[in-house]
Amino acid sequence: MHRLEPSKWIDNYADYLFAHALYRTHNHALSEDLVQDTLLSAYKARDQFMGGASEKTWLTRILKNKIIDHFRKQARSPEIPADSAYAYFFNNNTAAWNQHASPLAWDRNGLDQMEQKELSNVLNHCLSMLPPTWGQIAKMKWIDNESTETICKAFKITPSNLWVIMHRTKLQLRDCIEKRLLPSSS
Amino acid sequence: MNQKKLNLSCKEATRLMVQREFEILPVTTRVRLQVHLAMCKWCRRFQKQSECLSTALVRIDENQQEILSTEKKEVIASLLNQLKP
Repeated sequence: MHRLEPSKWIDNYADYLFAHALYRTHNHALSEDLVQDTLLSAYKARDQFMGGASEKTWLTRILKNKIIDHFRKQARSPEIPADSAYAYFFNNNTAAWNQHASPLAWDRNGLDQMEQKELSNVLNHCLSMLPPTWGQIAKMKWIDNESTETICKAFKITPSNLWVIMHRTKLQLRDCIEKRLLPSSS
Repeated sequence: MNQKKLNLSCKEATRLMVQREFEILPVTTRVRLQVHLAMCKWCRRFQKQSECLSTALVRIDENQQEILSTEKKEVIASLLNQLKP
């Protein structure tokens, strides 16, 4: 059984929770407030901690719910890519890869070999080229494994819109990274 | 079934590969995807690179170095203290 030690929360988890919030919201002030909100709510709800999960997992879950709440309140619906927006990647008639957009062979294992800092720079750059909500949705799904239902509710979109956004996000990220990895290729 | 229906387009195949990371696809869809991948070297590259990208997103999250300012930590500490009985 796990136990809570609120007097050690700030030393043990404040930085972790802050980094977690910042990576998902890209907003410094908001992330600070989310950490504060999380720790205060957690303290008030400490009687509800059952000890099944670790303290860190429990606090992270509270933070994740706060982030989802924030997106919900913001109520900024993401851009839904029009079908014509695929024209860069795929031929309009055959829906096969356009020659200029078809994936090139990456050197070795591409990203696996990259240094943390460099990978982080490239990925953050490419994420910043997407509509902000797409990046947020992509992270909630790929990193946090949030359910389709939760994300659709928070962003007020349908599941099929979600998959279109995820699909476009992957296509664009892959393309962007390829251009950064192989700047000489055209 | 005519040829057009049986063959997935690259656009459909890539969408299914993204969806497959989270959901179990129907058997017939899985088979059609395998057939397409066997024939299409670009989609095979996409698949490999796409997996690599998913891993990278998680790897970066796990290695975040950002820290919360000391000022904010002090504010939170004093707020927590006020809550104590």
